[in-house]
Amino acid sequence: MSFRTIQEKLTSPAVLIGLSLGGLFVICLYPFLVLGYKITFPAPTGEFSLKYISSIFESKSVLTAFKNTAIVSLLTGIISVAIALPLSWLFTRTDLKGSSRWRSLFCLPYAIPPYLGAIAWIYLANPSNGLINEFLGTSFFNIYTMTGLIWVMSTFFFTFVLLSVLASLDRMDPSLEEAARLSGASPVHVFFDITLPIVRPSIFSGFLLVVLAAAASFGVPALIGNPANIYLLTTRIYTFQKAGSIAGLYKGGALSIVLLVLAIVILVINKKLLSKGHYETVAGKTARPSVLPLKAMMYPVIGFLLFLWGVLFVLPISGILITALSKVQGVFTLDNFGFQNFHRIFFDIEETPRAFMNSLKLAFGAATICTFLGLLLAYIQSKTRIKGRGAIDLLASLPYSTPGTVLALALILSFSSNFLGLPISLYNTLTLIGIAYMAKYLNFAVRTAGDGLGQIDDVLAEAARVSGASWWTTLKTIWFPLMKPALFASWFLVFMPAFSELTMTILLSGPGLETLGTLIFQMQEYSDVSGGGAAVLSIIVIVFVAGINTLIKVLSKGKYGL
Amino acid sequence: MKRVLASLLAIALIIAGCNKGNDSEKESNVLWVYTSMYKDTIKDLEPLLAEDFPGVEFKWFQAGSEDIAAKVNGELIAGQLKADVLISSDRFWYEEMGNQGNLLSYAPKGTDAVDAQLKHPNSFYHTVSIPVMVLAYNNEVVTPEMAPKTYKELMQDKYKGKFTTGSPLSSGTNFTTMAMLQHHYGWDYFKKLKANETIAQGGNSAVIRRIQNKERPIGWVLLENLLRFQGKDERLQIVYPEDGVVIHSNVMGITEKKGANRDLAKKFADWMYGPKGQAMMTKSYMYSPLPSIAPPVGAPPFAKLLSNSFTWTQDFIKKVTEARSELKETYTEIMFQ
Repeated sequence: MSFRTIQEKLTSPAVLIGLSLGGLFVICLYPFLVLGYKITFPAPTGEFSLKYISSIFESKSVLTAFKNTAIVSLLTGIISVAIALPLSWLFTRTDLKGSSRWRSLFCLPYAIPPYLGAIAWIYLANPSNGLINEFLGTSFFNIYTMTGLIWVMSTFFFTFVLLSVLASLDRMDPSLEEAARLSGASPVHVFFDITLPIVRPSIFSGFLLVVLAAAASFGVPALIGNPANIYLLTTRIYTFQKAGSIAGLYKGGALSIVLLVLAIVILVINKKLLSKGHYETVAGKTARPSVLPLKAMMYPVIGFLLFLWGVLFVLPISGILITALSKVQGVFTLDNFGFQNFHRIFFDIEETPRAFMNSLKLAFGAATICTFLGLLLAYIQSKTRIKGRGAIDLLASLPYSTPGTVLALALILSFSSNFLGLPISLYNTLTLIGIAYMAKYLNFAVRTAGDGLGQIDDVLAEAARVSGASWWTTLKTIWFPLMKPALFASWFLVFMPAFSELTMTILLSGPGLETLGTLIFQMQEYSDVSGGGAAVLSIIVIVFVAGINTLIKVLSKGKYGL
Repeated sequence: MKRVLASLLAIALIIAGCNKGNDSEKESNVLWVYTSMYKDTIKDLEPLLAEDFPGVEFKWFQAGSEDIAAKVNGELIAGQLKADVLISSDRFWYEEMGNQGNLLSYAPKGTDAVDAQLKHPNSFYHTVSIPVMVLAYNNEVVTPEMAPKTYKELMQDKYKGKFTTGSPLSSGTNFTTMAMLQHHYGWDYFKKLKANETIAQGGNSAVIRRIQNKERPIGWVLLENLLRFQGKDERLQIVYPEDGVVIHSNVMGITEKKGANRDLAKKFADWMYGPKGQAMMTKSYMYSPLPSIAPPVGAPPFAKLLSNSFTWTQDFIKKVTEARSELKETYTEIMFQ
């Protein structure tokens, strides 16, 4: 068989579709089937029992937890949209100076490991002695409130909406807006009557990503929510899981399955609501949108952006930087600052290079595979007639809406001894950690690619097919190029959180499998006397992510990257 | 685009090049140790073990006590127990593991000298090192007169907005301390701590961070974490509470791993009670359970602490082992809702 025929065989639609659906099943559904089975047929008897499912409703606090989780995640979603929407309009529809650079800058907050970002915010805005309060001589800013929690979560999560909407605005056919403007509509009218309806699916999709991620996150809610008495479902799950008993693990799993059912209901309703419209807006030609001149508003706008970026990124990163440079924490004399922590992380700690390489491999692999898989799955969902395709994005949302500790447990159960009856053990391997990352973040890739595909009119592909192009060639020459901005966005959306992932990695890690996340945890919780090691590592993470992005931007002359 | 792809490919190749093949080593000479001991302690142990156990490969999994419990419980549910030896600080979990038949009954050499309070009557586990929970404060904001002398005093209004602890959900020693104080002072103690705006979050390092940053200048925290700061941060002052310090047990147990050669695990357990193993425990600022070994640098003699500590009774251990989930639940209701 020649290379060409092998390539043709491998890239035939049946093989690719089969592989991607198989992959989806293995990483997004199978672990939950195993977990659900173990909970309903618990050891040691293995007999059918619903006692773990029913036991979670015995505690009265579950209702409070449901209510609080709904409030926190919905409001985080709304605030994220409120931050991201005006930004994405400024970056794509005005002549804002350096708009490409602004985009990159506003994606950086997402690269901060949330756990350390939350610590930085506590440092800045706790009511007792937060730096901002001390500086302003008030105790006005209180991070330990519902507002504080929602604010901190939004500062990380707004990026989802920003990227989703930016990608959509970039691809949208600007002639529609132009037509409106030529007919005399004001920029505000154009935005609300033309642009907004067209990018609405992207806004919703970003909003949903935020809501689900917020509902499943634990680190930030624990740090800020516990002192603030905001009791969430993840706190509840954590209490079960950390009871230290096997029953506790089952209960935690049971509650998160209930959480999943809820997530599915929300997604299905959302789907029903959205399916009414039709949004294909990208046709063949590539037109540059005519931009709105900011004129006299240019510098006030830049000033505002600087301020906003300062609040979203510079403030927390300064908190982290102060920690990283302090020899001992909490002392503000000049001789307490230096580079000792950096020196220790780079030269004294032998795990640093290994952890860095492991994280790089994992994040790079997960991001690349997820992006590709996400594209294929989104393609199957929106451009084929395969039965049950509508369930694809639902399946991809399952691991995403599950707290990391539960997902890790489900993966240990699924892949430690026999997988589908085969003697395969991935336990204590990098591969399993990689699978965990793919499972958790595939949703980004499917949704980002889905938004992109949803906007591209089928006529392009039909034209290619009519001209004799094969399925693969069509994918390669039509879909890929049009989708590139979305694909880069989805790659980064997976890469950034995977690079410093902590919750799942702690349980899945084993000897020699340190990652930056476990090392950060190590530094934070143990031996690191000065307390600055974790801060140094998170600065490495941010600088590295920013570095890759800049590299891609420079190489592509600004066309790709964030 | 080509250049972008080419550079991505190059990065991928570099990464792939660094990938070592997965070794399928012979399991008989491999010992899996899951422990909550500090990383630097493990680093100090490794060369000594290499000397005394030639040809044996030690695989360390290092995490917090509660994460170790979750991982091992997961392995048990999956029917694939990997851990050979467990060393961590959630003693009650070892009780449960022993009751369920997951731990080997074995008394390592030398453990007859260990106080009965500090080991299991059926030898499922023994204390290998002793962390001690004490109080600490930051003398920049708290004067010695203002500082609490007992755990009980922290119920007073004057400590409002001043006190912090770790979370019993994320740290084994914080759970044990909570259980001990609950046993003696009841839930009212924690209701009062809550009314005093106590922050209970994270592990012992998080407590130190809050004391140093003065967000909460007083806290309960492990002595070993404080001794590490000797000569580095003189603001941190230690108080040995007059109503009693809380003695903890870093315990060691050998698992009933199917088909595994237990001799190696036993030999390792013996070694941990030998002079080299115990020296490492005191080097990381924990007490040795063996009366013959000197206390860690900067710490008072163990006998003195023991005489003024909350006592461990079999009754207490049994009660807490059974009611662990409920204790954590009630605590969560009081402190986090």
